[in-house]
Amino acid sequence: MILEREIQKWEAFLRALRKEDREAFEELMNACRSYASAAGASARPVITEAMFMSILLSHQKNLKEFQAALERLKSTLQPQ
Amino acid sequence: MAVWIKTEKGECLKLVDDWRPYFYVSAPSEEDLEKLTWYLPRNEVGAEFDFVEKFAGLQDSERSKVLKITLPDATSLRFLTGVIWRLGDYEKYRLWNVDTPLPQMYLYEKDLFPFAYVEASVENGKVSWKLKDSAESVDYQIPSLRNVKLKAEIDSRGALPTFEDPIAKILLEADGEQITIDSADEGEKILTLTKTIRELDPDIVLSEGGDNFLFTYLARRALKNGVLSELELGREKAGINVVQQKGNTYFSYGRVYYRAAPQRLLGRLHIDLENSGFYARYGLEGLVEIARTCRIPLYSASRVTIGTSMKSVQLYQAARDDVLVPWKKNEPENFKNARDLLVADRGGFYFEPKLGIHDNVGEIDFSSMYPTLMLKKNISPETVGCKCCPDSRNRVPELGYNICEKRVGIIPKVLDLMLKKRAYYKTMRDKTSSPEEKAKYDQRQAAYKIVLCTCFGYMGYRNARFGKVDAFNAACAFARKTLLDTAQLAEQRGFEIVHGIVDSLYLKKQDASDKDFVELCREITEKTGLPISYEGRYRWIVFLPSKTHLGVPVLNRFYGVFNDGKIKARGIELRRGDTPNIVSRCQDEIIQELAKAKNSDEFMQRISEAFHMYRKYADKILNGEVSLKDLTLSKRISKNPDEYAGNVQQAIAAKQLQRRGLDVAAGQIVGYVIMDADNKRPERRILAAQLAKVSVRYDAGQYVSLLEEALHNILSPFISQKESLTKLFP
Repeated sequence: MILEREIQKWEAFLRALRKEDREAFEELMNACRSYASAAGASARPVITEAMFMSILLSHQKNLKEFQAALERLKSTLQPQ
Repeated sequence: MAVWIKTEKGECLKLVDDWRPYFYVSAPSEEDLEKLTWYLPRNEVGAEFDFVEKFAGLQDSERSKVLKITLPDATSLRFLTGVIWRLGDYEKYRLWNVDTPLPQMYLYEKDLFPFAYVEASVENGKVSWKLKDSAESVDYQIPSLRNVKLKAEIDSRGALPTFEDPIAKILLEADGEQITIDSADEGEKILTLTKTIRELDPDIVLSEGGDNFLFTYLARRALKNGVLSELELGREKAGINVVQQKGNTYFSYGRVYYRAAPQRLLGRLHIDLENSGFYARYGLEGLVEIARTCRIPLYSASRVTIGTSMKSVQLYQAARDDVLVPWKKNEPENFKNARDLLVADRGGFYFEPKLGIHDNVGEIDFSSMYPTLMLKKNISPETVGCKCCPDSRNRVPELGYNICEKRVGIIPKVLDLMLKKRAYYKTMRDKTSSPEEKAKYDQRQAAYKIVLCTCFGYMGYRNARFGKVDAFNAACAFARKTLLDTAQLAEQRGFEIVHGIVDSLYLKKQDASDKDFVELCREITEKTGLPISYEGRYRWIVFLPSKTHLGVPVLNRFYGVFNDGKIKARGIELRRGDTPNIVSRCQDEIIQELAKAKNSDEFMQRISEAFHMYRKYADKILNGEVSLKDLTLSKRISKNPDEYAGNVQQAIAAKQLQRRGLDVAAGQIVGYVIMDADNKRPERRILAAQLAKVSVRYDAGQYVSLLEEALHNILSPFISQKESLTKLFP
């Protein structure tokens, strides 16, 4: 709930964005929601710290996934 | 005090004991107490004074001198406590044991409990009791009790009856035999009812809505026919009120509830099946078990919130230990800075579920995790952060609070017996081959499960007599550590954590067998010292995303099928009380169909089947083949009708009822049918169920979209957008 209140505070920022950016922003907020439990467990006084860490974490996971996919792709494209 | 006993011959006797209620007063000095006795209007109320030594507060290690005031009866209690408050300028004198219900006070003092096997003798108006039983006993006999089920059929003009509608039939059921009272004259029916009840002489009267409606209704009809003084349902004459007693609106865990005032019968137990979820779920066995252990009268245990039973056993323990119970709790929270508060003030831990469908997921649950932790770690308001053991080795993880090493806390003392009994009943249930015994033990252990739930929540609650938030936080911290340690262990053994919440984990490992899960449980119990049980493996389980943020996991929204075919669902329409029958039945049938799938691949193949079922139900709605009852939505109103500014549907329904002169209060559930959801005039949008005629023209489109939503909700991980639902299945 603290998280939702913090997200609310970013509304002015959100409104200043274009539609495609707003969608990306919403996805970032969903990344925060997906790690709400760990963020709560870390009990950080400044909640945005936990939010940025959640976003970094989701990016890192995506990166790893892309890397693995790329490796697979490379190996199929390489001439035997 | 009147006590009803059942003799070995099966006779019912009323014993009246000349017993007086009492309370205690403490003051900064003995002199102050001495002075108080001069000023109090002793003779006016017939009070007696004694000086006694008691522990005034859980933390106290020495007894102090307090004044015991005994009263002739409870009527002067409020008056006298008010006088004492004023005499001490509202701060000097502290009052103790003031608001313990008298029947409970009597039980504690005499060391008795409901359904105890006793020997009683009466002399000069005094009863002396010889207890030949123990609350610790696990193989007691419940004396054979005669039940009568009481129901009335009413000639109602609307969908729901009112006090003005005449009685059609009164139905009684005793020993499987149906008795129908349907004589032509209404007054005659009531007279026959009184006569039949007197002849049957039941110990328990089970009614459907006795508290909320039926008893007052019968009294009203009796009044109308001039036979009110003849209406008698108890063993002793005591009229039933023709005016509906105001029930209670109360607030619990963010929700407003309404509970009808209890209707008690002298000498018989009245259990209202609609007001006693406890009886419905745990039966007489569960109810008696709790009444015995918690020393609370059956009529209270069947109606009050379960926390009250837990409170009662704590009050009993305090009385045993000579500890006084404060009138107004003051076990203050220890001072904390903001940082500490942030770390301390957290609930249980959870792992967000991984969305979508998973194969071969096992569920493991800690049984009674919080109570067991509180018992093992000695967590209690007076032991957490105690002054006597600052260097204690028993410390709370993360928070570092010290826990007493010298004495056992009141909460662990109380929990010890309950946990032991629950564990015993569970073993007996699994051991026995007789179905009746199995059911008996299961009801008893299940009743503990729910009562034990309240012991930890109760410590943080302001009405709890022995609560302290620090103790609550300590229990949560231990629980978080346990869950995290357990998760780590599972991961080390190659399991993937699909979901975890407070005291249970959903784990997945390819090709893991039941044996692998059982072995993991054994290892966890060994490491943590807490019993954990393996609930079973799901063929498949679907975790659903949030409704507002698609793609974001939420707690408690899932459904799945165990290997034995049992379905478990949480947080979806069919589990919600406010869903119309037609919608929940459709969703249930769809899940039953999907449950035939052995794995996720088969599940996906069956989705088209699900859509056919949805179609079948949608057609029924569109063709007007659905009954009023199946269309009714039931919602709890959180405010009184006139406090609603907006036009939410339940508010419109409540206002409609109020306009018709019916009593509606915050916390009550109102039923209504959607007539025309988008009508400009709010009062035309819906119709309160009580006011609806047998056939109404409902808003079919609206009901079909409710149905569609229910289908979409359970299939959302497999469909990207709502619109595509109909596109997917043209």
